[in-house]
Amino acid sequence: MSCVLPAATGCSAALRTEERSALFIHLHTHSPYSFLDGASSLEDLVRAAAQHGMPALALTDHNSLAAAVKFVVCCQEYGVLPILGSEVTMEDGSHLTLLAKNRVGYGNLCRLITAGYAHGGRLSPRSPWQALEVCTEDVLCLTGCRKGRLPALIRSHRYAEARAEAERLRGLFAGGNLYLELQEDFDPDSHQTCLDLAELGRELGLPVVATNNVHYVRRADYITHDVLRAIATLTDHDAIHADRPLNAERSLKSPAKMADIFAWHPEAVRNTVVIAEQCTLALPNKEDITPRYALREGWDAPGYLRHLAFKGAEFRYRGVTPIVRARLEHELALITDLGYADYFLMVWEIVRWARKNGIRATGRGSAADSCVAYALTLTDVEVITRDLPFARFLVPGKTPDIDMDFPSERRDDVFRYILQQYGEAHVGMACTFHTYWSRSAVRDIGKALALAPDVLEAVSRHLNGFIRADQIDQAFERFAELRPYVKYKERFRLLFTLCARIAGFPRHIGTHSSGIVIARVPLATLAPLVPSARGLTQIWTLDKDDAEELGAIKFDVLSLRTLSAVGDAERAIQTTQPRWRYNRLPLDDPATYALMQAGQSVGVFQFESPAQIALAGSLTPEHFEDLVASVALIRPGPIRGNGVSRFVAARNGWVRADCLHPALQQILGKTYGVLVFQEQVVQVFAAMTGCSEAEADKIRKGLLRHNKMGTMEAARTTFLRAAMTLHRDLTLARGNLLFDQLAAWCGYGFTEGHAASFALTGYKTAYLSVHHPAAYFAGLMNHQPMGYYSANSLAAEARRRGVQILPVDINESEDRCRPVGEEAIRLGFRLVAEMREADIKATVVGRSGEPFRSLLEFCCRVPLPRRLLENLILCGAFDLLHEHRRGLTWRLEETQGLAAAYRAEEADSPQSALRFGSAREVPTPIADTIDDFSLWDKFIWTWRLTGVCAECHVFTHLRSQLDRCRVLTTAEAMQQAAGTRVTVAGLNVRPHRPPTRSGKPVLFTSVEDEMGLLQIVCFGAEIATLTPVFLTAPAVLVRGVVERKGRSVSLRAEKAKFLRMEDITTRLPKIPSAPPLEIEAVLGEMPHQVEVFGR
Amino acid sequence: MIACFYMPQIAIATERIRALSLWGQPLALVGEDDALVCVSEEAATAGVKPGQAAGGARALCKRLVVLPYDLAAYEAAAQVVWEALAVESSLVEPVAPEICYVQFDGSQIVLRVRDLLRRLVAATRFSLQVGLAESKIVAYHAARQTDIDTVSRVDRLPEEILQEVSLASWPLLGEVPQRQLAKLGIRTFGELARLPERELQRRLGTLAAHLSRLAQGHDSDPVRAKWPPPVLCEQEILEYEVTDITVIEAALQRCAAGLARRLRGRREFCRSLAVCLTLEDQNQLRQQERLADPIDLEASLFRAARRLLVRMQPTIDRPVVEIALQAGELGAGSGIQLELMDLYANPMPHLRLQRLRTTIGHLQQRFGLGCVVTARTLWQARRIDLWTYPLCHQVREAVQVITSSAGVPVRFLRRGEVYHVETVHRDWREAEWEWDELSLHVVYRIETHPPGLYELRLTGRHWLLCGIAD
Repeated sequence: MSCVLPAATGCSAALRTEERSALFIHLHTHSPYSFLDGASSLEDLVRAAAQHGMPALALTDHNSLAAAVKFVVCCQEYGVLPILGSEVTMEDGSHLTLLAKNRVGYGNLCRLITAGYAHGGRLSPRSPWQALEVCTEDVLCLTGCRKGRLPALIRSHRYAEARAEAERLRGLFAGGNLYLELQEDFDPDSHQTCLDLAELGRELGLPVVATNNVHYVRRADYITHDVLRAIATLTDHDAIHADRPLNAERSLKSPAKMADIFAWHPEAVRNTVVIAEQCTLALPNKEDITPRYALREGWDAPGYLRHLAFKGAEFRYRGVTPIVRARLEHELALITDLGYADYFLMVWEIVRWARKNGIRATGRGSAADSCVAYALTLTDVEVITRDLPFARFLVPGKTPDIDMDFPSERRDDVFRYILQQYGEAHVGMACTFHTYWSRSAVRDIGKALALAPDVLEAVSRHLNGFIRADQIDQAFERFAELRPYVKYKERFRLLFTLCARIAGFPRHIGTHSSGIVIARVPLATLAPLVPSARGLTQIWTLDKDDAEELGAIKFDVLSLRTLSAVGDAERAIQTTQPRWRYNRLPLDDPATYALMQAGQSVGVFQFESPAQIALAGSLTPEHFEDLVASVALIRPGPIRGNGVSRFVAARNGWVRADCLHPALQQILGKTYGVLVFQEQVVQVFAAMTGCSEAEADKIRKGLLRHNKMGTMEAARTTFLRAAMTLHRDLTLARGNLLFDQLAAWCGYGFTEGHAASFALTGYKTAYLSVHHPAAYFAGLMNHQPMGYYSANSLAAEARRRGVQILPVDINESEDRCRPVGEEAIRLGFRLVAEMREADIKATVVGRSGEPFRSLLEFCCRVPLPRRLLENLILCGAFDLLHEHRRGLTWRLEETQGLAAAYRAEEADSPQSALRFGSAREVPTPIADTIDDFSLWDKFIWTWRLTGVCAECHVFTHLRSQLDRCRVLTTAEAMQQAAGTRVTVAGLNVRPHRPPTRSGKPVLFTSVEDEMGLLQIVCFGAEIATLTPVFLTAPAVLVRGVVERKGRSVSLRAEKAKFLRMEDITTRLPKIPSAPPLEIEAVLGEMPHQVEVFGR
Repeated sequence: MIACFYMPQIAIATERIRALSLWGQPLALVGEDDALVCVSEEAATAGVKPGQAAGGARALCKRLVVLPYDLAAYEAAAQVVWEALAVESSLVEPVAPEICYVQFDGSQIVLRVRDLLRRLVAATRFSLQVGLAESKIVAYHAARQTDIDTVSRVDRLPEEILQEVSLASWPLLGEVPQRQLAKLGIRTFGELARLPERELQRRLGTLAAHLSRLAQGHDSDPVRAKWPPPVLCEQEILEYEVTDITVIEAALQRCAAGLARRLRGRREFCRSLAVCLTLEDQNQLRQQERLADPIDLEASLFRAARRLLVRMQPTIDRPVVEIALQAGELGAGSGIQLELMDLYANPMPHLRLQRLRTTIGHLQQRFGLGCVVTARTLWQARRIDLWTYPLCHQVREAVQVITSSAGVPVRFLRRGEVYHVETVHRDWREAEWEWDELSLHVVYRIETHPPGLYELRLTGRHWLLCGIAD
């Protein structure tokens, strides 16, 4: 027997008998990774076990080993031996507690759980008994909780069957690997069941072991557990359900308590230690699982990679210079030493296949810092000229991570290729754990507390997604939009208390958005695989960090809708200009830079946000490097470090660039002394403290922790001491200034390579929007949701560029929006609500060159369900055939009945009796006697059903009324002098609150009307009153002061109100035109929650 | 002219009159579907709303008192109002305790109704809102829109009143038809009224005509007189003035026999019984009781009548000349109800529960959600129910328990009788929580002498008898 109980607990290799008798180890424990069946965090469980002096602890989540890595790491911190296991649900619904003795046992357990998911399905795993037969090696079996087959038979007094079952399990788990599990949880039957099981053990000579089916640490956590079970069982806290706990006995009890409970059978307690002694650390440790790249004889992976890299460099650099050669040699040496050559070749192969099959692929992220990646055409950012540090991408101890963007609509093809190439068993998506934040916690617990759905909706609507579930209380003080609802704080006291208890608990498992893991060994031997909802690739039940701990290298197959939009645009342009290529766009087009400078970059990848538009106004980008800096500047790191304004000032020559120390001149020179890129942070740490770049990267990562823990000042002292020791000429003041910038990088920032990759795509999309607006905006509208703006805002922008937006037309529209010449976009059927792919296909096929002449004819040729027909009529798709939308809808049933008659093939069908004449000749039934919808109603229906106002902007309809109250258009407001007080009205587009350097809240939003977009800034005293309005109102009326900075114009909001349709249509027309009235006097105070424009 | 008398808080007020401690307390009344029917202002302030689940309401308001919606009691309370209205008009239609329609004829109706309202408010102290219109639907909306203790006379055209009233307020129109109508551009009665009737009829068939009339404020629904409620009465005029109680009892027995005969003949049961004695000075004494079970047997009726007589006895200070026995709430008992009470047909609790649920579902479907009130609203079910099928009778009765040194009950005292514990069949632990407070219990299932099977629950130091075997 090998004993591995850790020395930290004071246990030696062979515990003396008297020591053992004092010990008890919990071998049946559930963490929150049992998903709604564990009420204490992993750390709480392990800490409690350590406090009780337990040398080991087993984790047995339901059908899952998802927490294995985190559990092992946590146990190592507390000096507790982690025993990995799982409570597996078998095909008959019974439970078995299985523990892995070692790595082999762990692999078997993973395979068994994988088989369970494959057999029972994604949501209800059921492991077949047959699979168990081949997965028992080095697996210890405990007979399970009250849901175990054996205890169930005992409880129902079927002793003979119980005996046979025990014999069967003994056969399966030979070699003393079977233990009868005694759980005294003080349920009505539990004690008797324990007695009977112990008796059975005596009869059969089977050992027994005591467990407590731990679901939480303290008894008080029972409430949390009960609530979680209520959520899982879809009951409320008053309801009865067999899967909800009866009592609060499933806590992590002390050894003394357990010994007391099992005083009648001390051996059951002692056996917990016996079992723990049989277990070793079962988790794989950094195994190299990357597939070997298949090569012709005579080649090895490093050699072939070298060959490809130099060949690629020849092409990229038009000849390999000594500098390029040196850089490549350095990178290749490191890649080879660390054993990642196969990984590079694997990614290269996938990208090569994609491009060969017409799938655009661009690299981003830290891989853009690699010259090898550039040479292999994985990325498009030139590394040598930019002097990008390879260390940011790869250093010893760091796993490389290559992120590749593929068009969203073709990404599945890439996945299919990978599956085909490497086999389903070897490919899996990394998982994510959807954890409880404020909104989800409020919704779930609210339901469990039986709070009314409308009440819950009201509460959760005002909680943004970034409030932690345990900080809802503070959020009512912190967030201005919540302050008006402070009464909720007391009213929902119980709800918020319970939310805090489950904060951060995983609710369910999900798929990582892009991270795919490819291994040469079956992934199911490393961690269980779960079928994904999409059914394409299986989910590997380890998140990206845990996967890395096991040695897996993630390859991010990212979906970028912009690339799909670009693809659509390219195809449309090539119909008239066949030689046009997206990849060959000039990078110095003046019109494109002029567009950026004018702040008209709506729809441009990465440059369309209000912050970017504002920056462009002051920075006035003139060349590509300005764009790279722009992309990187509008990130939390540079913003908090006050980098934006300093960069703009230095770039425009308003101030002298200051690098703070001569040693930083080379690092920060190109960015005017401002820390813009992540690499610079690492390099500054290295240069100032003399540490290696790998250590500097760790320090950079540590900034986030310092910020969280409030130890930033200690970090400052450490930095200053090291920097001033190394650089005697560094003054304390300048050192502090430097650290201020560095400390701001506790927030997120871009690497230069990544910024350059994005800037390149951004520039190209800007070029498209200038020179081919119809094709580009049509492409953007086809792939919504994407980017910053809705399809409606994009349509408005296209309209401002002179492109006409043509409504959905039954005879003209296709599936997608498409450009009609250079000056118009025809909206596609995919925008119409509820139209599925099959419906669209049926419509287009039904048309097949011969246009429809009436609704009746359409119904004859394309049998669509009534609700879809209604949607098509109401969005105006039949307007060119029939004007009367309401009349058509009104008698639609008759039309459908007639159409059915025409479609009836059987002559004796009763429907065919209704046939009279050709469908083309018979008029479509229309209720002419009723009034048609008003123009406004038609407009609203079109907007509601397609998401796009086709003929004009919604505010075009309202302008005459707004003019009477001196409400300016955004274009008029932007022409006013700085300091002018104006009132504007429009749709409220994407309000957001970015982090600020001072930490004070600031809110940005845009007001969109028929003339354009106007940036609104809100800060200072007004923010408390205005935030609720801006965060919840779809349309607003804003009064503020015009501000100008460079070429950018914004409005500093002083007052804002909800703008309700009924106020505009009913109150405003009654106003006498002279003298002009203050609009507040007309509209009065608005309530907070109102529906605006029916959307 | 139809008046709608709307008393939204009558149920709450009645409960508070019953138990004075409820004044100032947040109070909610729950129907059988576990949804709140009525909430007090204090509860409303805490966010509790009608329609909400009782459990959810408790999670919102820690001090919330939830009581079952006792329709009979509120009807009894509203009866004062109804009776007063019945004096003014012969056409009184109480729809629910909260709503009553009255048809008024003659002149100066508004003045009369105002005067009536003033008197009613003074007499009952219930808040009343009154709407006057030509139809029920308009009167109802007028009443809801008016202030408390005021009369709202609809001077505008009914179409104008209903102009903005959503079709959703018409209970017979489901959600799906509403969505359908919205797509046709019809959301309110006003929009409905603007449509040509022919088109409406073509589109909506028979529904159209009804909707159309409603839109014009004609609901075609007359005030249906439901007053007085049906009762059966047996009376006997005594040949001479009687003071002897045995003679009165004999007369009562004859009345009971006659009443039982008539009930059985009608295949009905009565749920309330009243004894009326007319004294020699023509004063009447009346004693009424709501019976625990619906009855139709002579013996049962007589037993109840005697009980009432015993209660009246101290007040009989003059000779009796006439005796009447009145059976009320007819039809309350039925075959279904009696069948449910048959515990022996399906002894297993889960089968009984299944049948009960089916029957309740049937009744609610047939007669509306509020027609059945079960004990579930009074007793919060315990999770142990899943495990303890032999026990089906739950109580919460404090008892004195003597325990052994190990803490196991040895005997307990209940209602003056000592029960010796012969066997402890089982013991287990339970936990309950409310408002973040966890309470732990140990439960013992015991067999006793005198023979019985009980569950005793120990919470802290307090013992409760919580279950008695059938």
